[in-house]
Amino acid sequence: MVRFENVGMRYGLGPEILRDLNFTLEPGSFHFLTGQSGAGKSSLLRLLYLAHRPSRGLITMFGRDIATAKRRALTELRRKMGVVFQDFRLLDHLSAHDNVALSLRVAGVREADIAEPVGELLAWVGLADRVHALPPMLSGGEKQRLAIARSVIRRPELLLADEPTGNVDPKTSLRLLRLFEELHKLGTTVIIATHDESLLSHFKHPHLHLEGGALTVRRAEPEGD
Amino acid sequence: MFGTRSDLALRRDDASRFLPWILALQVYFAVVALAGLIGLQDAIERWRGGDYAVITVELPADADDASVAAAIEVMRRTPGIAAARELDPARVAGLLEPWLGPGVAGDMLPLPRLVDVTRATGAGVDWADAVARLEQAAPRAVLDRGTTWTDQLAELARWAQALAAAVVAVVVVVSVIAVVFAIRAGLAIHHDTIELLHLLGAEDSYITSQFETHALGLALRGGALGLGAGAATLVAAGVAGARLEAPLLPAIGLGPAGWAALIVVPAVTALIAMITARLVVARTLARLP
Repeated sequence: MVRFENVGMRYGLGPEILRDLNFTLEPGSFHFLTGQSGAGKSSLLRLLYLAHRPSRGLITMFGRDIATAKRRALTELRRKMGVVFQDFRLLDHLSAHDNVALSLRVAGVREADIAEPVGELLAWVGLADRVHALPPMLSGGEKQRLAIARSVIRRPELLLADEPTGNVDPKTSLRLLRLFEELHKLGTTVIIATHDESLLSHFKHPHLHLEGGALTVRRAEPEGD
Repeated sequence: MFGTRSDLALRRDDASRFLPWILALQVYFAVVALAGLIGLQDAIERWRGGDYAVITVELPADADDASVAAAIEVMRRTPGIAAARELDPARVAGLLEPWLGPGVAGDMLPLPRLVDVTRATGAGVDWADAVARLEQAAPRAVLDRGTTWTDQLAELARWAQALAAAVVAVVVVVSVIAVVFAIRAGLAIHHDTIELLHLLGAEDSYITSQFETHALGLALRGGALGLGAGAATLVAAGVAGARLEAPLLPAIGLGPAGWAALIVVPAVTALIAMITARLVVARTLARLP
């Protein structure tokens, strides 16, 4: 599903943030992306959700070389992904319902086919009574769940989450990660960037560990729930 | 705008508040300039056609009555001429009295004999043929079509038309610049939202159409305002012009076609705003990965 070969990345003329990345993500896999703050987790995610081009190397996603893919093809690739941004990136002037519906609208889903799945999903993430609330009226945890709802409403093949448990208590964090596991069981490939080592101990999924711009794949040792 | 849903809060931008006023002013200038351009065209054609010229046949003071009668006959028989009659010499002398003083013209200064010629309304006249026949019937007669002044007026009006066309061109350029700045401001303010829509998988056209619709709405609002103000100005100018006593000036009016052309101005402005918005946004989106 995702293949990185000798990928490097820099911002402008700055130093190389990521270098010689080589890894493959199989369909239906679940990985944690770990590393210290500033290790490049968000940068790697930006490459994955096609917000940034690599400065060198080859990235293949869904069987397509993104360097040669046409603009329209990249849009199609983005529609196969769901992204939970670290800062949520919710639109403050849109209601919770419309924030989630946005993912469907940009993909050209008819208005008549939007209300029902959005309502169901908001209920699933525990925001059934906050449907009309604007993001500034929501707590950090509620925003988090709303952002997750927006990322999964299209049933993405690849789900990327940048510190999705950063603003919630440990109990809620665990609950959110269970939610991602549910999606994974339905066939979604999941990558979750986090620096919360204690949380990771509850899961046996492998880690993509970034350190000094280089990446290693680690097998996790589960401690149980 | 127009009841459509927008993911971008464009209506809250400061640029959105000013753009309709700027475009209203541009449409006002364009409407007034275009009205002048259209209205003058009819006047130019009439001046060039000699509709407002004073036509006379001039014979020397010592010309006999037979020559004058022959000249009158030639003019009366010319197609397109409604009437021809000799001006009373006493009246001609009276016309000169303010400049020469009483009793000078006619007694001390020989005055030419003049035949006043009136054209049939809207009729064409073959002046070359009339002059040729006049030379045969009264060799010393000179036909003065009186177009010297009207030709100059027509030339002046042509320059005024060119000026009006230049004003319309400037209005188009200023409108485009105003829209470009407003849209660029909108793009800068909503950069994060635009990037989010892009990353969520929005086609460029999805984002572009929101700016297009927004620009169209603002331009139509400003255009309606400018058209209303322009139309009021033209009606007021028409009323003032009707009171003016100027025999050389034809009544400058627009007619239904002219008014229809003015209504097109805000529509064209809105179209320009929409296309400009599309181009500016598309260019910005093309820079996103």
